[in-house]
Amino acid sequence: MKKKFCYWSISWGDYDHICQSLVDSAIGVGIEEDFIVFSEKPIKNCINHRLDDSIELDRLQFFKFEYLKKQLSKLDYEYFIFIDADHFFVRHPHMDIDKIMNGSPWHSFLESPVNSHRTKRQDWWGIPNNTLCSAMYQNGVQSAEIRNTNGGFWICHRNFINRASELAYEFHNHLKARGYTVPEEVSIGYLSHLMSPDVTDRYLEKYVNYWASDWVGTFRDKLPYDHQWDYTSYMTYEKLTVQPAIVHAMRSKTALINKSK
Amino acid sequence: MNMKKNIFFFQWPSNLGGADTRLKDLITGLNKLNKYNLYCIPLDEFRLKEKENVNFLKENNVNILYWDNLPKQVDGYAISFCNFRLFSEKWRILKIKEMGLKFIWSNDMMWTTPEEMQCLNEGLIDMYLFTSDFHKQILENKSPDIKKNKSYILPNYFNFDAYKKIPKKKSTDKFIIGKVSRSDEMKFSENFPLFYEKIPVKNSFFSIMGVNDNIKNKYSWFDFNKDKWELLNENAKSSIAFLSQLDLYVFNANHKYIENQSRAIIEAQLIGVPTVVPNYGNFSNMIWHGRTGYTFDNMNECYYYINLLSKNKTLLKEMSENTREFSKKIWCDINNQNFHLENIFNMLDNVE
Repeated sequence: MKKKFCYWSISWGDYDHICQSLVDSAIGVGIEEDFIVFSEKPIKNCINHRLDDSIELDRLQFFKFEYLKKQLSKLDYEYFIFIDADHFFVRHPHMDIDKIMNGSPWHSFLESPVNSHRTKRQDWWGIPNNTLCSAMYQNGVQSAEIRNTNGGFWICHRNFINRASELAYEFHNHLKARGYTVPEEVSIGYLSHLMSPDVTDRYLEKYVNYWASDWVGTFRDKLPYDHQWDYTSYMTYEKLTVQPAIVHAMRSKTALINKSK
Repeated sequence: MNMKKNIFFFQWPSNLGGADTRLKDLITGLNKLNKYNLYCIPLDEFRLKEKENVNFLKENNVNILYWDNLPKQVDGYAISFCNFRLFSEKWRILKIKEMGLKFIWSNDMMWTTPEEMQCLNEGLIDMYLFTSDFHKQILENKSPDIKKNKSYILPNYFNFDAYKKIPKKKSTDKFIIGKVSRSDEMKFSENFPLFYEKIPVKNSFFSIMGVNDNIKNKYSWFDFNKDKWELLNENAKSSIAFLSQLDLYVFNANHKYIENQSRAIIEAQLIGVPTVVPNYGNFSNMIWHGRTGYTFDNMNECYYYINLLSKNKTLLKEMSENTREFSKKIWCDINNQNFHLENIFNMLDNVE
């Protein structure tokens, strides 16, 4: 019988330790959904598979889409939640996935506007804001506001896997042809806009109890804990008070390694 | 002495597809003028068994011929809309030219085919038609060889009398939104079901004609609730019956597809159904924004306009009347269509 969703991740090298901490944190807060990890070294307390040698671990991280197509699509879940290894569960998220998806086959949290009068940064991944917006519009996005996203956490419906991958590559190649070779994160953001006619369904501020990215280092070199903190919007530097169950602990890598070593 | 000009249509009329319905309406209009001898030649002999279409041609004084019994030599003009088999089965275009006919070709699509361009370069097409200035710009950009040829912009023609709204069988409190197209993935946006589902109208119902198994499979990630959705196969109903049940025609295509002169949108307008479409391609030349419908630049605008029309029945009624009147003036004037045809014939006969 098809299960509603699973979490999945990929790791190698030191990230195997980081990933072990992620899995342990998930178990620690009482996550009962399956957690699937593809890793170099064995990871405990999850469904662990060896890395697929046929998939190149490319610098731009499109390998995530390759795993999705080649490995995950074989599995019987309705949704697949990709979670980068450097995440940490500080409490149970009690995730209502249908509410988050709200009919869409794709989700990532859209964080911060690139085309607003509040926007402070001039580019995202080196793509000037106007160029990024034009590329989005030329490729079918119809929302007025365009935002950046974080590629570390996203959700895909099993029946959208192949199309998601095709669209991600198409958008990547569109930008590449214009001189911008950027990581998969930009395509992930594109998909979130394209597949949500009401793009506010993807806005981070609706989900501050679920997830947030600690890219400024609020928990630098420490393990995140269940605590209210100020998230800084990437493009506008505006502050947003959050208390997420799942923290993208980008600046806590050493602490995450040490925890499981 | 019969001084009427001969027009040979190398195409078969039907109720399905833009080109075939275009031909059907044109035949009706030209028959009323009683200025031409009209002939129709289907590509396939089995078409001659289609009673409805055969009767339509007879009623409109069109002589039905097949390739075996075409005259060897004849004065006149051959016209075809979007019938690419004339080029891929090259003996057909050669036969037309061998008869001495001047060949007038309307591509009707937003792309050309290699075989078509080869025939153009070999001088087998005497006149290349576009349906709009927008169409001309797109095709000449894609295939610059077209510029070397004689060309003309001949817009679609519609037989106004054929587009009578059929009264709804039973009244409903649902606000019915929909669209009709051929079963082509390019006619559906990547987010197709959500594009409609997110429309902020509580009593909305979505009726879509032109859905096949490939399209259903592409959107299998979505649960089409039968209380809210009606998905119909291509040609499941006549376009007039389908369009008559709609309160609003809302269209959004795949971003890779460029719409030129969508007959379905004009048909909706002729029936009196206001349209809401994205502001791209040639739509701004087909919809008088704010009078006969709305074009939108983003989703906020799209949903705002739909909501506005669903709540304001007076505005909806006014727009419905506007759209019918406006489209009648623009698209249904057979004398104007004939003026263009005569221009084309004169250009081909080198008459200044």
